[in-house]
Amino acid sequence: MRRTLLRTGLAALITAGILALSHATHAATRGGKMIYARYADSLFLDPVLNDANTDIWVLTNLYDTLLAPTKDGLGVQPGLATKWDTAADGKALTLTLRPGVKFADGSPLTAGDVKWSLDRARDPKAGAWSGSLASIAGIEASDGVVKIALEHPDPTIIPALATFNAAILPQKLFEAAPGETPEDKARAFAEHPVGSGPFVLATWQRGVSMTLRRNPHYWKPADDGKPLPYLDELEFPIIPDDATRLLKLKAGEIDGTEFVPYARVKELQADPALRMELWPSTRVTYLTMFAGATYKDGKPNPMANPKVRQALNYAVNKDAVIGITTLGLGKPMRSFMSATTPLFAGQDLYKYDPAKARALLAEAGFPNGFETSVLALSGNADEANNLAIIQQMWGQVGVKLRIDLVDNATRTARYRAEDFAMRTSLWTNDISDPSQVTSYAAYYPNIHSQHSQWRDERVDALFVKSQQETDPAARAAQYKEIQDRYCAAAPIVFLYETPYPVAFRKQAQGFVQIPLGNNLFEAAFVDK
Amino acid sequence: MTAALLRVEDLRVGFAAPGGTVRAVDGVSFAVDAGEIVGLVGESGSGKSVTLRAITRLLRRTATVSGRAEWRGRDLLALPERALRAVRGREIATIFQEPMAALNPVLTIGEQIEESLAAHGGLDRRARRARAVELLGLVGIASGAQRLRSYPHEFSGGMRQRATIAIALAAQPMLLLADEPTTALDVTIQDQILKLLTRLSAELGMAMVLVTHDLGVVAETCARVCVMYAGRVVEAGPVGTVFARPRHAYTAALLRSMPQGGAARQPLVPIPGQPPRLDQAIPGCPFAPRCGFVEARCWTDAPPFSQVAPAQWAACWAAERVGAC
Amino acid sequence: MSRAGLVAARLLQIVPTFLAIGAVVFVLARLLPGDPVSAMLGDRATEEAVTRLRAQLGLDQPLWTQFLLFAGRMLHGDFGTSIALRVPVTAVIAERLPATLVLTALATVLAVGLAVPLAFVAATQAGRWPDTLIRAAFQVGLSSPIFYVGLLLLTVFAAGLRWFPVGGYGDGVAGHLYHLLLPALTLALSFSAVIMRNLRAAILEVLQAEFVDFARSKGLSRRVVLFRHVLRNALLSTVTLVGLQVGTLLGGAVITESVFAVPGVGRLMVDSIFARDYPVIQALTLVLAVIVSLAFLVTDLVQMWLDPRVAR
Repeated sequence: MRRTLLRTGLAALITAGILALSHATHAATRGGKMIYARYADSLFLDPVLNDANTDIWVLTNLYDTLLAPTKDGLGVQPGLATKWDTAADGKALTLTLRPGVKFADGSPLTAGDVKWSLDRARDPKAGAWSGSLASIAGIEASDGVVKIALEHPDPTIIPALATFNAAILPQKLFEAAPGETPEDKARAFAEHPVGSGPFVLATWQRGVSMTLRRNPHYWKPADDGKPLPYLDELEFPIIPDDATRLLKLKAGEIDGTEFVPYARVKELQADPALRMELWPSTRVTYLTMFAGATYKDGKPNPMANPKVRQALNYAVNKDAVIGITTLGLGKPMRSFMSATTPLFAGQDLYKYDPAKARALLAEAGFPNGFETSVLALSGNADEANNLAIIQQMWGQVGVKLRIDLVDNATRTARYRAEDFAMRTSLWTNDISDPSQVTSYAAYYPNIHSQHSQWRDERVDALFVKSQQETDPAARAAQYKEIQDRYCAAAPIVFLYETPYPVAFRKQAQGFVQIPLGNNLFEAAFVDK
Repeated sequence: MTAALLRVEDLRVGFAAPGGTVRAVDGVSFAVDAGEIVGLVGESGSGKSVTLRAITRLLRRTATVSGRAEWRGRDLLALPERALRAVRGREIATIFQEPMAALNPVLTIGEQIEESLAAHGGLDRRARRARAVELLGLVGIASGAQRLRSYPHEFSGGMRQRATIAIALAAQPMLLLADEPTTALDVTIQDQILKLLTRLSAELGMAMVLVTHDLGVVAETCARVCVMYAGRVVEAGPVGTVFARPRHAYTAALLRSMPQGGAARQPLVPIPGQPPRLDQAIPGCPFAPRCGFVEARCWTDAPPFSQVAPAQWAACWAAERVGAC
Repeated sequence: MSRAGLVAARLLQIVPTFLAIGAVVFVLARLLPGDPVSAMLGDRATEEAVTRLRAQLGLDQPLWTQFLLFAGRMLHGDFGTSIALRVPVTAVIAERLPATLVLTALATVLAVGLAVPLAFVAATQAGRWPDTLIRAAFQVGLSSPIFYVGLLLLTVFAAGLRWFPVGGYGDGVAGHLYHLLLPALTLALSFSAVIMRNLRAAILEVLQAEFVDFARSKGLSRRVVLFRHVLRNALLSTVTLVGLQVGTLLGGAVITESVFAVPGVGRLMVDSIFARDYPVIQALTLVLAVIVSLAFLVTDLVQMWLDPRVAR
């Protein structure tokens, strides 16, 4: 009896010891600085008026939204709001604000700030992102409660409230910023932004580096009960060259960096001092094909025929492309949205079959193939790799591809003018909902299905319905049908999804990148 | 014979060329006494300029020099570099044909005079400056103090040559080697410079070797003359004697081809033919193809440089017949 | 004309050059396909967003109006606001210009310091092994692309030997200079090859000059002849070369600034072109044109100072 007791006691002690030890190794170091090198600098730190990923991915460290994305990016969790209820008719949303939240300057965050920030964000004159909040009819703010009235039931409003442009700004401080027009004030305020997020902007030397300081009033606690963030300081030096960033990381001059080239991933994984992190992303790489009957110059477009588009898909060995360009880090696209997007309903698409490709081309009236061109970004190694392989494979079925290398602004200009045959495309979701990518890529009335002029009236109708569909099962079914129809019609050449490749020194931990791309440093720390 | 200041013996200079070695100087011997002016005359390509430069080893590394150039008892061609530099400028000076080319365009005349003084004398800056002004006066350049600060391109042709002479004379050399010093100058200036050189030679007791193609210049300035052809000295002797009764066919032909003021009007007779190529060995006399006195042995046997009259030497099988004309 | 008068005249010449370049770059920038709006808003923007932003930036106005506005403001020293960065253009350029200028100046010093002695050795040892070795080494330097050389230097001397920081700009004057040494060396390597070739040929040419023989005939030492006579004349053409290359060097700074993460105007120019940031492109082109003009002026002045034959 005593022996068993002793043994049990010993076992318990050992278990407790192991637990304590493992807890100790995971306990975050408080204080200190993390240096994270970025490839490009932010331009404008305003949640509503910004334009670039380089702004968005930093903003989430400065500001909070009512709802926060979950770590897997698929759902939402409490942010500045602790509770939220949708009315039965779906046309009202009531949110209870977290009490005691302060902005970085110590002033309290009120419902008035929420109303003002959301009104500003949804103003169509204000910025390009206002569309995500377009369904809001009006906002009422009172003591700790915000009531949002919607024009119609909107299944996207919840994820929209977790998106960067719905960040809550301090109304008084913003209006006190120097400047006459709202744009002037926005500009001035963005130089010294004040939010309720884990960090606050300390210094910013444009093009050189940005330093964020810990926000002492941040509301979110760590596991140990004390407030986040762990870091005192966060520095973002700007280093445009990939090779230089990695050299700095290896030399220990920085703690982490983004956009590690695929070719270097294996090498960093083998380095005992470093840790390679591959975060699931919403990033999809594909080729957009113009589907209009004629090109802009009036010549007939072979790809107006879905058989041709399918043939072009069958003629590409996706696995080969993934192997060569991403060195196996990518996965085949199984829909026009990434697998990490809510309501994703994918399938295996267009398995490599050159014989079938030739057959389809013949059926479509192109037994000897045809000539076409693609707009690609000059200097982009991934696009160059992809197109080299695709060019060769299409050559085998008689399709001659001419690669036109242009810069970003040129490609965008021709794209918007719908003056292209094909273009290389890259997409990342900004909101955790399939509506954004669908309205962009598949819904004709928005921008002609990413300027391809592909039109499927059933898809358009389904989309409109889904925008007000509150029944999750029904919405999922609508999106399944949209995706099935889209994939069958093949308006794009489906290529691959790739993770976000970031690398850190072993001592630097706690970084999170959600599939939307936001860099979250609130729980990041550097071990001594 | 008194110990000559400079005695050149069997000087040979060859230049490496793709076709073979070019024998620019093929056995030249002559001597210069203290204070005397010797003319080295010949047409272009005769090797006279090369001879001059060879003496103080001013030729490029591509040249192979053999023979002896005895200066005050020491062979200049065998002297170590340092000792040679002590001779150059201090004991033997050189002036060149084109004064604009001979002067460093980025240094003032004063600087170019004073660096010579600095290299050879123990004078301090003040003394150097004073001496420079003195030198300019010596060569006939007025307002020397101002002129010291002038650059070569600010002088006229004649003044530049005067300046070159001033620079050359800075360290009071005993011998001046002058390579066609007046050829590039205006006719009127030529006369001035020649007169200047003669005066300086007399005043300073300085010997001079004057290289020229102009017999008239030789007649005016030189005491003795050496006539060169195809890299060899073909005749040597006092100017009056050689010009009155040449003993080498070439000398005679030269004299006939040039106008001589004062003599009765005679038709000018140019010398037919071309000088020989110097990259091939010449068995006999190099002038044979163009010679009006040529004999059979001229083609096969090189005539020796022998005395043909008191103080007159020539290398010609037909010396007698030439002298008789 | 007195020297001061000449300088004044040359400085005045810059004004019409300025205006002409201003007009040309205004047109050229707008000839590029796309505009700041497409660059900024990217592929996702809706038509309304594009139209709104275009109006906000005044890009929907006729070209003439835009040009007159630009010219008018320019004459007041107002170069407008950067479209991408939303800060006054003069502020951005003033912030970034010093880095590029210091980089270029340092590169010039290093290039000259490297090329002159080696050209000297190569020329005086012409045909022998030191000459061949030096010329071969510089040929390699000349043929290597800047970004490759830069990365190589970074890998070996910065990341490897830790003698230098891995890129960046540092703090304070000493810090800046320290950080700029490797990028300056990168730029200097290809520049010095050009200088070396030119100087070596100039030295060889001068060595044949008669005044060198004259100097030797004066009994001057080898050292005096080489430095006072040969080098001083040979360097005349090098000075001109260096001055004329300033423009090229500024161009090479672009790539170097990217590889070494130096916040200079080279990168700013490239980024602005990609972003079609017209105000920055225009202002920066003008600034660079003025710098190059001044470099030419300084070169001419130095030449005048060194070579008394140059007409004053």
